[in-house]
Amino acid sequence: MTVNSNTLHRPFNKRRLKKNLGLTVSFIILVIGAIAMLIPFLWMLSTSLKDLSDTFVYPPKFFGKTIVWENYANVNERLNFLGMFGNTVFVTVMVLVGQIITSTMAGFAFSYLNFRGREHIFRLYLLAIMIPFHVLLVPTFVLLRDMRMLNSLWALILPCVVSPFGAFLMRQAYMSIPRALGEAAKIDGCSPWKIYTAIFLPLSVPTMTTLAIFTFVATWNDFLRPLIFLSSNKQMTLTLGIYAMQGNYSTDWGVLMATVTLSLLPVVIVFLSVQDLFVEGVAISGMKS
Amino acid sequence: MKRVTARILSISLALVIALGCFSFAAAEEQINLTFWGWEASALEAQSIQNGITAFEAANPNIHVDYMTVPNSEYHTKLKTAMASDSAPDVFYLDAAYTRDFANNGLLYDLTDVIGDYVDMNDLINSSIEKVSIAGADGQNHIYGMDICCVGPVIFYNKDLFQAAGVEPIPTTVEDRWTWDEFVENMKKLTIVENGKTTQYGTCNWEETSSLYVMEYMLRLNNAKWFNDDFTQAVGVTSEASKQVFEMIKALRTEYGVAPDPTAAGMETGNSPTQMFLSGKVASIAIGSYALQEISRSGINYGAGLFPVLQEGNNDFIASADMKAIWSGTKNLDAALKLLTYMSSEDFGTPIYKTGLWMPSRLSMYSEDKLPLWFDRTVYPEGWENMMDMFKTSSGKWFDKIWNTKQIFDAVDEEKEAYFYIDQDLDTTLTNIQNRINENLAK
Amino acid sequence: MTNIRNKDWFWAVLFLLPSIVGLAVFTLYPLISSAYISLTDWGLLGDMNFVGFDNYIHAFKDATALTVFSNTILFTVVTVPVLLALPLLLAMALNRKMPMTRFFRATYFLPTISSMVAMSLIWQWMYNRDFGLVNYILSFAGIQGPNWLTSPFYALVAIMIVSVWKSLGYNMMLFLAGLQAIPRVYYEAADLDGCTGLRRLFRITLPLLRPTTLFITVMSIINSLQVFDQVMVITGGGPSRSSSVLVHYIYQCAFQYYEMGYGCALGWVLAIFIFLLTMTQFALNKEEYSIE
Repeated sequence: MTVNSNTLHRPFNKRRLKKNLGLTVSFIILVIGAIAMLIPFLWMLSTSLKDLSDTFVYPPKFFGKTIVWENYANVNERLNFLGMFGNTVFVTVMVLVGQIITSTMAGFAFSYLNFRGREHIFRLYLLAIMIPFHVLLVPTFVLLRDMRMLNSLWALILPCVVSPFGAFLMRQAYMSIPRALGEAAKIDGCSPWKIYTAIFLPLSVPTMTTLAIFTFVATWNDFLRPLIFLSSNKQMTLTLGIYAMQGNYSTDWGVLMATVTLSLLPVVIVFLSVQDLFVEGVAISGMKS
Repeated sequence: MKRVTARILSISLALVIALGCFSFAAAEEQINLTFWGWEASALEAQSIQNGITAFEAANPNIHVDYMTVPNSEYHTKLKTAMASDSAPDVFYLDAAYTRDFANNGLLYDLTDVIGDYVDMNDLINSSIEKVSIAGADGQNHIYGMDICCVGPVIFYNKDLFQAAGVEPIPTTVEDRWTWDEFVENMKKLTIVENGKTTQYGTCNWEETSSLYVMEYMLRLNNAKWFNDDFTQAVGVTSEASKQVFEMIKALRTEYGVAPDPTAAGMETGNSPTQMFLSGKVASIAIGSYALQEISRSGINYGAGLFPVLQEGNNDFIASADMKAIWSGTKNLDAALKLLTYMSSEDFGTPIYKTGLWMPSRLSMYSEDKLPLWFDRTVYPEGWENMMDMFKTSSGKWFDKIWNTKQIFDAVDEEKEAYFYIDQDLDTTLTNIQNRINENLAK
Repeated sequence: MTNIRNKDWFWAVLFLLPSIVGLAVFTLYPLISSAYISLTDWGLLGDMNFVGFDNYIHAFKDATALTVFSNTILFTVVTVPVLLALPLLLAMALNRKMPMTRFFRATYFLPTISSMVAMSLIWQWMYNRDFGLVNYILSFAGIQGPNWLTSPFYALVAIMIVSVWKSLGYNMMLFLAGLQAIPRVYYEAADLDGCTGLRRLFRITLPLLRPTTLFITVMSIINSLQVFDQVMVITGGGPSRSSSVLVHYIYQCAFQYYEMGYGCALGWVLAIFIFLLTMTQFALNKEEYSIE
């Protein structure tokens, strides 16, 4: 029957064939790409379970003679992993909370409130987004030094609590909330603070989540700031810790890769559990900028 | 009602003031010292921790705040802390940075006081050179104290040597191999299968981010890179230093007996022992500190001296970290106590035992003190022959420069250009000389 | 009326206070301060002497600065086109009904969310000449892999590969969003006109994707100009500065050599570059809208 219909409706089926071909080619491309994306992660896992003698072999093998789980046990001994993990969590949470509060408040002011100079001030925020951190490196460092905050986790938190990008993102979200909603509440006698907490905040949870995810990933993975602002091994964050570990007199690739694996886990878990929100967030950030 | 409140208020105020005075009085007795180190190994960390505990027990009024900073960032962080007035009172200092820091007035000049704590006559020669700097007044000024030294040796894998039928590397000055003998033996130890080298004779001669082996080789070949007071680089372009660069490069490019540094996963220069520990390389030129790691690796190892390059040149260099006191310290007496405690035999002995350090005190090499640390299960056969070298060693050139970081980076850059980008050797050496001078002039 | 204004002003101040204070202290003040420091010879420990534009003039004479400038530009010129072409291709492949879409999406995104330092360490190990995975895989194609990290040419290439690998997924996701925003009617009309394949790509997809493409281009350029983590971890700028880039040099000047003034000046060169780029994007985007 299919043969028959093929000959009968040639134009249609040619298209279907083409469509199938396109699908197959696409699929193959995607699979090859996915392998390229995953190999480094698999190699990391594989190395994290090898001992030194299995590490330096040619041809490289994905599994060594023995599986060395001790590498994971050694992580904390070699690196104070738990301490660094705690530091990183603390910094990330503080920055996250800070940014959400300041960004939603500023976004609310720029969208709901009418005040003279609103657009001018907002334009300054947009300009601030463009400033690369590298031009501020030295003065920020000097400032933190004078505030006696170098080598303290606050050096990573305070300068990051305000994000002009976050304010921008939240403002865009609030602009789409119908003004009537706020006006109605106002007539009911609600103060702007009440309108902010009772109406705008709950309505902007998706955008807040987007902002939170971005901030989480950026803060968790930040390297330059910890590198410059922190000194002590006790204060280190994970990225700085694994960088410093590589700089020790001896590098054991097995333990190093075990550390890297553990440091990645939280981000990967968060990502996999909010994957859709994340993807949406990227799309939004792309569209709106 | 009001009156009662006022009375309560004034009473509590008085209480607060009294308490404040009390705690102030207590604080006067309690001294807090901060101490920084970089911890080259877990074992050293343990020793430092033990040392601090013992020190605090002996000095109950002194509390030591110990902080570790990663090795790679250590000296920049230390300088920063000093610039922000929050520096440690006592700290580890790489000898290469002594002059760099002293020139900026960051180190406390110990010249007049150290004699009360340490018998300076007991220091080995290289240590005296290490802790002191010639001042503008022509006098030597002492800026720190040490307890250890590290010298360049060649460790080798005995099993691989036996399999290839190569004699152990000599440990006495008289028996040292010539460079040609060394190269021949390394060739025997190099195995090539199907065009792929599966075992290398030797490694770490090109060193990355370090000038340790390089300086020793230069000196063995009678090269000289600096004028007498180390204010200028001269003679870098000499024939003698050219030879050394060529000899080292030829090990990899011409004879194929040394691996490319990336092959060992040591591209950052921080883990040169990795390759040796993997059992794929028969020998490694490195500081004696590597003994600690090698002795625990399960490899059947030996150690010997560098080859002789110029007849009669028995030079040996030694250096290592030392401890110093910040010029801005507010607790000089306590800081001195800690510094000298951390530079005492008691502190050093457990670490000598592991091979990480060699003693920098002549008395430690004496018959009665040797058994305290010379552990036969760690120190390989023939090490005792090399001990005189440590005792009579001289200090490093690169411990006497300033703007250290800039100079190290510049020399590294040029070295790499010659080794890996085939930059012409004359250009390389001319650049090195100019760039060192540029930085010494700053 | 004025009363309401005043009231709104009160609330505006209240709501903006935290972020304005933050921006003033940690952005505006450092910005001004940085401009000033860049005109001095400050070295952290010594005095601060005003030297005019010496640091900026030095930046164009300093051989090392020229090397890092050209490395940075080379890096940008090579990676940005790749970071446009590959993600677009993948996005188009993914923009249809097929099995495992979620898996693909997650996989391509994984490098993006992972820390660059961690990824760099893994790649550093994979680039190992003798025992590394990269050269092993190349050997199947009969290619003798180079000494990735000690060759002046391949060191920068190695950094480029890692960077592309890392940001591929992010750009792909942006393209995918852009593609999905194109109304289906355009394609249906094209189908009726018999316009297919490449012509469809060039006549419909690419023109309609222009805003997305523009955005991705500018973002990618800005990110490429600021590349740092992977350089610091994988090669440290070596061998012999062949993979050193602008931000790496800024870091060294300011925090390892204590040439604070010079470090700030180099920072400003970067900032001005980025500012001009962003302005160009705005201008182009405006043009776009006025055409429509």
